[in-house]
Amino acid sequence: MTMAGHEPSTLRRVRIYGVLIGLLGLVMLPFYTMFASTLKPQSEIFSSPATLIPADPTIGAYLSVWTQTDVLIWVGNSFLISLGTVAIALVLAIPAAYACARNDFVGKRAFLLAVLVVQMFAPVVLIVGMFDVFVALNLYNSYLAVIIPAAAFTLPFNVWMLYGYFKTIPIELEESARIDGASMLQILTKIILPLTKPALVASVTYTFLYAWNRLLFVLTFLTEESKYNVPRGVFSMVGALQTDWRMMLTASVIGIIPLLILFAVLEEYIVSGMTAGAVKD
Amino acid sequence: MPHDTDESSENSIDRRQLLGALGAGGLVTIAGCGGGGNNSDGTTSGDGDKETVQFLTMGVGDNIKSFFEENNTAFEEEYGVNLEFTSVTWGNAQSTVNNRVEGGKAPDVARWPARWIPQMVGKDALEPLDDLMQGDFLDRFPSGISDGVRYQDHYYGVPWAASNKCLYYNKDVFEKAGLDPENPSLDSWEDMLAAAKQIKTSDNVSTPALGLAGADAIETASQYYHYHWSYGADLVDDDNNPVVNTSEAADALDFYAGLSTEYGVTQSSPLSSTRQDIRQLFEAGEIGMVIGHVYTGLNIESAKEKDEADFNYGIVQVPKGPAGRYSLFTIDSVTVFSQTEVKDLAYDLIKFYFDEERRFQYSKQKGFLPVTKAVSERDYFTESGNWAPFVEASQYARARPKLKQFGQFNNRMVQAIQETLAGQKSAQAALDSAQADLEELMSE
Amino acid sequence: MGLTEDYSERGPDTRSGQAIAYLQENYRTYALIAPVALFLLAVVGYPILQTFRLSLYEAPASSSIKTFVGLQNYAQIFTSDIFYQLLWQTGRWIVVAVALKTILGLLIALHLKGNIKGRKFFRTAFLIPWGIPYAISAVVFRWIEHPQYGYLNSILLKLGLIHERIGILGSPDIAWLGVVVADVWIGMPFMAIIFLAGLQSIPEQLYEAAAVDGAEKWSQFRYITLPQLKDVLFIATLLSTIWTFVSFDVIWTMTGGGPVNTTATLVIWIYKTAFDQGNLGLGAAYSVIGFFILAVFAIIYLRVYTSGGEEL
Repeated sequence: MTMAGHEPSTLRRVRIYGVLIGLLGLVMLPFYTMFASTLKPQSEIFSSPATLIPADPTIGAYLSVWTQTDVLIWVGNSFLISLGTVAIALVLAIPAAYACARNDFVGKRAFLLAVLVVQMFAPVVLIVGMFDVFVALNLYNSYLAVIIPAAAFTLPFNVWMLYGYFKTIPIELEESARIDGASMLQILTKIILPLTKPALVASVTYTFLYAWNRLLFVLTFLTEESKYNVPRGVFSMVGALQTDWRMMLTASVIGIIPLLILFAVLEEYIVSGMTAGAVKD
Repeated sequence: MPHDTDESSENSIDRRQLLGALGAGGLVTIAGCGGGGNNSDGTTSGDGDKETVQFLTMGVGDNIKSFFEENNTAFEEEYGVNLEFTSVTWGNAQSTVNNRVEGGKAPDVARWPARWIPQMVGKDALEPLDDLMQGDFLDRFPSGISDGVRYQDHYYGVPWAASNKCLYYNKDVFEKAGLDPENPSLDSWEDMLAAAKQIKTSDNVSTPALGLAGADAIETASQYYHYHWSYGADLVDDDNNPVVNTSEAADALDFYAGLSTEYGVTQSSPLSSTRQDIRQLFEAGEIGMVIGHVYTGLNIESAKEKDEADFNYGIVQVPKGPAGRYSLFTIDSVTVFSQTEVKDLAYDLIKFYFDEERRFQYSKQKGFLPVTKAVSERDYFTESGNWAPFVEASQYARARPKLKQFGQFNNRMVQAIQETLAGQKSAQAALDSAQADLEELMSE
Repeated sequence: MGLTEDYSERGPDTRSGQAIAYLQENYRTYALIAPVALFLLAVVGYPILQTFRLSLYEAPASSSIKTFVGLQNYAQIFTSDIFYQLLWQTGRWIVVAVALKTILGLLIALHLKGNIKGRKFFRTAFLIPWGIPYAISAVVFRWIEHPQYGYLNSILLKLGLIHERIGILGSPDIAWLGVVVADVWIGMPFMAIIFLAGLQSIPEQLYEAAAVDGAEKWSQFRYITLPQLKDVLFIATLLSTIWTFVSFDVIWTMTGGGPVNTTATLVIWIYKTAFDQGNLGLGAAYSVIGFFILAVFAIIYLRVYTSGGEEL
């Protein structure tokens, strides 16, 4: 993909990398702080002035987290919860977004607005009522009690975002298929979805990470330690009177590694989505 | 944490579900059983699975985790039951428990501050423990401590641990500033201020002299109450009417805020510093003096063992004010919820943890004062440099009032402290408006 | 599938007959949206109704007794000074945070769009803030901004930009900006990804044609990229506004709403009122007010958007 313009290409390249590296610096500084802290002894974290580079780096915190906590189980649970959320949210959102993008029907505007209502209350408020719902449905202390609210709170984004993308796909593409006798499901899976890969990847990423980062639902609906996800595990290290910040940060850093690997892999799909997007015209 | 097999944890998930299924029918029973009474046989399912008891505690930090892990496993083995242990953070504790009580999913046993008892009793959420807190068992506790879990003539908990405060000072900082590190003159607030001024003006020291809490957090008020009480002010009178704006109170708050605004002897920006912040700074050797618990000393000791800290510190009593000396005293308790279906097992669990050796280990590892007479009299506490000042401080112990609305009360006090520290209001004006709001609150 | 207008022209003349015929014609469409509607109703319908109901009650957390008080909670809110202070603070928090997230996200997306070397590295690296639990990020930002052991003060002192340490989060004037920075950091990757996906569906030919016409970089952006990105921009800013409005973890962890309530937003206040202070009824009333503010905002925003000739 080339971006045609008047700038000479070397200058353009310098500008692009300049901006990217500058922004990356902004993004990485806090992460660096976090990472550097995992290598410092607890006392050095609170030394003044701050040491930019750990004076006496140690991987002790990584060994402690690895041996003393169930960090692998947390990561596993996080995956389970995130994948479950993605599955439910997308299975529900795709048909609804498609229906809204392709048809004008009575109540469409109301439906789209009503979906947004879900997010207009702070989850900390709704959680009180949700508790009763999950107890009544007998889901308390099950993974579903975490997956279902996460899916519910990601639906507004997924419905709206996919709706926006589906609208941009020329209707002619499916009309010819419909003449050939393809069913709606076939049209959706064979024509529409391949064309919206970048949007789907964005949706999946958003939904996955939403569930990944959420502490509130796990905190409220799960009691068993064997079901903890990464944030819940990390926060189980907050002591009443003392908190081993180093261990918490270390567990958070470990927790992010599988995500980065996953994203590096997924990135390929965004690229292929890109080519598909180009083909459509 | 003891969740030995998948099988056993499955059992606990489905416990109430099974109860419902065994009952007359379907969802109705399940929805209804949440509020149900003490149906202790409902927890044993047909396949001879083990009973489960749920134990909720808050703020299990790194230093005490293994204590609970080991003992929970021992309890499970000794009694042939399942123990479902959950630890929530302090920030989330109250709302988590409220949700679980409201939703009919209260834990069986919970460990939390005794000052929450009034609120929970107001919701009929707690089981009176008078049949446990009697005779020999009750006699284990000094009456001043067992009174802490008494509310409306019933015992609603068992005292689990206690904590109070002393003043820590960094001997190295004192020495560099030309103060006597071994016999510091820190008897009164004025003494403390004089020492702080000397540290501030000393060319050899760049460390801030005094840690002052001022952030929007509960503990800010806890730190301040030492000053408030010692100036002769109180929070409520005998009839629970607020009395926070007396001239004594204004003097106390004026002095507290003045340490930063007038004398500048504190760390920079007290308004963003929580109690934990200033304690951590002290533990890293970055602050001259701080009011802290036993565990601050224990933390420094363990950091020294790991070569992560190398400074000397001393512990003296919290300075006295014009009207005396007080050390904020907090009791932690274990309570049993009225929703429990396994009350006997809950009692077994409490008794198990009140084994003398376990109490000793807990206090020692956690850095909380022991609550039973037998344990507090042990040489370990009375002869240790870290513990002895705190044992001595028991005579100055003062607890916060037992009020249903204490959380709200305390928050309003924090706001007054912040307003004064930010220079927005004089101490008297900040306390006057707090008094007005609190009068309204308490009359509800 | 028929459009509404098409159908009404040739439908039967009775109203109910029309409705039935309309449903017969369109039941497939409704079948596609029904699962979402039912799912949301089941999960959050009751909690939302309960919040509305509770807002009419005096409901202390320390008691199981609730007393009906009508609109008293609302009256109390509208006559209190803090409410208007909260509105102003919530407003500035949203405007600044959403604007920064949008601009930075767009900047990242525009520069990551091309086929540059190391794209995979950059795209992955920019996602990092998104993979850290929010409360942890907030803790890290608290440290960075800490007057004594924070990096920020160290760096500014070294560069000679300041002469004595500043306690950002302890200053009633600028603490809110200290919190905004953290929120922007956390929210930026999401915006970048969404915009990136949007940019990729812009047909390359448009740019090629513009290049032939000799359009400048800026006019390319102004006349091709922005209009093509309009839908995505609209949806992303709408949602981001709502999320920023209801966000809780970052402020709560960094300042708890202080100093002297200057970083408190409506949601922080709801939490303090309902859970810290145990006044569930008043907290619910604040929630309902917050909901109406957001709903009105969303409707106006949609109006403005659709008045530009866009269909919803």
